[in-house]
Amino acid sequence: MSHHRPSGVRRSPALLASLAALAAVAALWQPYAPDAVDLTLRNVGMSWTHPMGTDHLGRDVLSRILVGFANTLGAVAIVASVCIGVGMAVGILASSLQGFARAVLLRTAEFASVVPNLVAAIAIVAMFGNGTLVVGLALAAGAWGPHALLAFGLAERARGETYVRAATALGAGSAHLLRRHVLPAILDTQLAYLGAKIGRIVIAYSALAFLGLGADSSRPDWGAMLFEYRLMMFDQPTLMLWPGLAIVLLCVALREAIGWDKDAPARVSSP
Amino acid sequence: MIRLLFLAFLSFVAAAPALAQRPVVVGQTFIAESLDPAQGSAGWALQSHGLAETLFTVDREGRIVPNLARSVVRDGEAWRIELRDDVRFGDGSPFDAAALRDAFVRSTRENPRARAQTGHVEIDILGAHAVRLRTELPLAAADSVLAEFPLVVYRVAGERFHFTGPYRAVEYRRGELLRLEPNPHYRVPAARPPVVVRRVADTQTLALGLESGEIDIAFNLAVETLPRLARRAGLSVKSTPVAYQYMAFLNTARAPFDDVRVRRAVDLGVDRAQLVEAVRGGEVATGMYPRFFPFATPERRLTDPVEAARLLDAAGWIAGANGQRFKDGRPLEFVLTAYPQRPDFVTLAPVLRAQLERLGFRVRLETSEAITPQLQAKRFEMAFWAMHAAPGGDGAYVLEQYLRSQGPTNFTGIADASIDAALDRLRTTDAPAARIAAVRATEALVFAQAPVVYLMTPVWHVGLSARVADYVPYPSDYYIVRADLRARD
Repeated sequence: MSHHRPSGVRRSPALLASLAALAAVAALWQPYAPDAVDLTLRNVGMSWTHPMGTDHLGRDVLSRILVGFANTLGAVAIVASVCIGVGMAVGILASSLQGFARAVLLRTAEFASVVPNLVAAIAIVAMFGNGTLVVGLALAAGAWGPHALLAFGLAERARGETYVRAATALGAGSAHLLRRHVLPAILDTQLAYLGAKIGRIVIAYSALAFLGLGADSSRPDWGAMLFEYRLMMFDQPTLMLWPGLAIVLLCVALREAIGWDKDAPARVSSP
Repeated sequence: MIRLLFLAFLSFVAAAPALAQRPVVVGQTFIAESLDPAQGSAGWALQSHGLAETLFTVDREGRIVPNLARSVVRDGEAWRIELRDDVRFGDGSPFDAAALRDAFVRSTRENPRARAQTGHVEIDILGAHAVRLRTELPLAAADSVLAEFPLVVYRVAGERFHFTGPYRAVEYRRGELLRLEPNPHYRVPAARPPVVVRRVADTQTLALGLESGEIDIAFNLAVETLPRLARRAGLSVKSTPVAYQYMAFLNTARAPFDDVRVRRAVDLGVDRAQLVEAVRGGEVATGMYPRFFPFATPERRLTDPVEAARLLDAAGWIAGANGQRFKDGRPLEFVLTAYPQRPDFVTLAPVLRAQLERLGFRVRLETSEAITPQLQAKRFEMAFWAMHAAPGGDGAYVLEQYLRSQGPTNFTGIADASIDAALDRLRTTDAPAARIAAVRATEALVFAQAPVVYLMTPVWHVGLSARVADYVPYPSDYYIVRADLRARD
């Protein structure tokens, strides 16, 4: 007996691990104190001592970019974890339940799906304050809904497959079915979906930071830097270029690390 | 064909006056919160928009001069005020003693800021243009009080407010726009252009509006936008020292600023010269007032990080290995609130934070779009504030408003009997030299309590299109739209 998983999910644990390691280093070490003001070093161009130059207050831009990287990746990791974890848990649970309980779970997921993500996040952060965890959860508040609905649909389909029905007839337990058949059928698609939207999560976080609602409004953040440096957009365009470029690069890197590879051969496995 | 040409000519003739009447567009970060001058600080904005006027005013040199009044003289325990007889409201009705009484009684009844120095007032009509003013509180400098914005003159007709200024309102959209036309009844006739005052909250948008020709007068530009504007042909930027003072309020009801030693440490820890350098202009503060006011304390505020550290140690805030101070396991931290309506604060906030973090504070920054309600509700720890230090040309006003225990805008929550007693003495001090000494003595008491950290006297930057290149900014934002506004069309 065999089944095909229609996925070619490209995962790059090495790239993910590298990003995580780099973020951990960036959070702990920067070449200069990111908020140290030195008015004698205003708008210094790129150099070996300041590879990304300095800003209008003489602060080292690279140091600020590094702190922003740690903040952004931390928040994105929380959103991704909630989307995959909560989304799959709710979807699979709904698939295994019937009646009112199933309906409640599905309606909740549908409601979360239609809530405008950024608006909800703004409201939540305004109510509960900043912090990486709060901001990550705020962005995830609506983002997990589509993942749950997707997981539900995939779980339902998996349970209807002949090989699953056969396994059930042979006496396989729920835990075995879940681990051996349902989860593998869901996880790749969930990751592919996450990969498709992870760039939007990065941008949503940057938008929050732009509005002063990032993980820590007193520390550098890419969106906050874009907000602050917009006044110098024409005179010192590199000040906006660096955080903008950082956002793009992180989107691309995450897409590379977790993404849908349409050219990958479909994998075949046996139950 | 001839008929078509004739019609085109007629259309041109008809359109010509409209073209000549292209309004001067003023872009600024604030707009009157209401057309009712008895609401909060609306009187200030209405004065700034060229609508409302006061009995006395302050000239460019900071002197108090008569405006709608001819004189004010002491009359026993009261004051006798002679009014001009050539003033009309925007609806054509005359300004007289009865109109003044109605406006003052209403304002002092409804607006705590209007009665901060006078209490409730009684006005006896002595003639068509003469009144006797009796105040609940002792009043020593009547001309100064009568020059302050809460006591602007107006007439209520139904739901409309009529003023005596060079302009009258045609359209008002709260928080957005005020369309003005010349007041045909203004006492000095002249060909004034119509004006549109637009609220532009974002200073980048303000600069872009000036560059694109959408805005003629861009008031209070961010210093970061100036190099770009300087390169644009046809635009000019006039930078002018103002009678404003930048300061930071400390909430004395909240930790860590409920301890006077911490407040004084902040005061001593601020490097004001660096703040001035950060915004590329201005002067280190000496206290509440810009130095050119005669009652200003002459010495600049000191910076002494060593003494600041000693005070923090004495207050129990001990520095850890990384310099951050703690007390009973709690970090020494607070939130510094800035507001974008004063673009300099957005620049100054990270500089001030860096200075205070060197002392061992941890400072979080926030920006508030609605700073006044936040201060009134005392939902702040440390907040920037900018204000005209002597809108009536006298030092008592801001002290009464902001630092008396029961002051209407006592945002810091300071309640100090010695300051109140000094303000009581100021209320009854007439002689100019004695008033100067009394103001300085009061200020010394304020310095000791440090509910306010005085930062700097700023320079403001006003961008002008070629149409209004002759416009000369006043040293404050109290008179942006003025009777002498002209446009080259």
